[in-house]
Amino acid sequence: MGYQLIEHIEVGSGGAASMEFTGIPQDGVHLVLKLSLRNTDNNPDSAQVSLNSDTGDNYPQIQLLGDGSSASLQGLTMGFIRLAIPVSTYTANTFGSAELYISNYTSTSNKSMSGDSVGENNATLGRLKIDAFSYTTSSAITSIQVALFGDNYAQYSTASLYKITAD
Amino acid sequence: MPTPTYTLIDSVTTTAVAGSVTFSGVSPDFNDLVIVAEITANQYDSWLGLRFNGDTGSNYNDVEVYNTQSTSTASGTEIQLYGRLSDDSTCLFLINVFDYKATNKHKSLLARSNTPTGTRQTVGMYAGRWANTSAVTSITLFGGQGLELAIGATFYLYGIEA
Repeated sequence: MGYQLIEHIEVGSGGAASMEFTGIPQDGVHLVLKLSLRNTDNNPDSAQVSLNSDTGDNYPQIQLLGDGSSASLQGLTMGFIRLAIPVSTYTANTFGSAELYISNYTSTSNKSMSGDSVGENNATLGRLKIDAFSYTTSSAITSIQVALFGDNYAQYSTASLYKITAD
Repeated sequence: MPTPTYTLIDSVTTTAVAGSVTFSGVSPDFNDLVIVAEITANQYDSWLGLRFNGDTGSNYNDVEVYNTQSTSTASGTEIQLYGRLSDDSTCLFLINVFDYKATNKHKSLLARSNTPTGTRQTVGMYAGRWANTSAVTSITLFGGQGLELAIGATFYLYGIEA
């Protein structure tokens, strides 16, 4: 009932290129993905989240980004959901936080999502952004992939997936 | 089984074009409220209004950041969330109302809006305050400037326990 943990993943020693949730139960209404992430390399500075292993250009999004000195707005369509994370040159022992809210994930309509994320850094290169996302498919969401392109998530990075039920 | 802490109080899906949706008789059994609303409007381009306890007086204050704009309103007749609502896109609102049953403070909320597609792409964040110490017993959500909510709009009201 209510707000239930589906699965929690933590990256072990040696890092991991991705984390994945499969077989997502279809008895909820909304999903909430909570992330604590850090890259082992200096690039990219965004987690790449995909749904149902779909990496096609099916994720229209608009982001409002602040980096400590200016703010910018960008609308585009990509093959994944981008969430800010710290890279290896950012403040040590510092992981970025992100939350992705997926509304009506079992519906047969396009999926609407809200994202808040930060590439935490004790300097002016820290990045904070809020995003509006859509997943333009009528399929229910049955899996979520949290990936990086060509790099690894650092040890102690975590991903937790929750479902919100209608009772 | 763990004690539930996040409970669905009520939900509405519009089956006809509607000017507003009201959650009434809100249970006093929780500490905070969360509203999740996914809305397509019947007309072009406006905001989502929110009122507590049917109060239409000049008792609402808000600060808004949406896209590259920021505005504030003092003594308004509703809290305005610039989603933006439109007839060519769906907007997802996440609204947190804090300490809603307290009778020793004004009621405050934080909200996010998300319209990723269409001609009115918007991402926004909002803070609002209802200048009234009464416990919240009803919440009304409506299209601004006479805009109507299309069929299929969904509204979920959750209560969060301490």
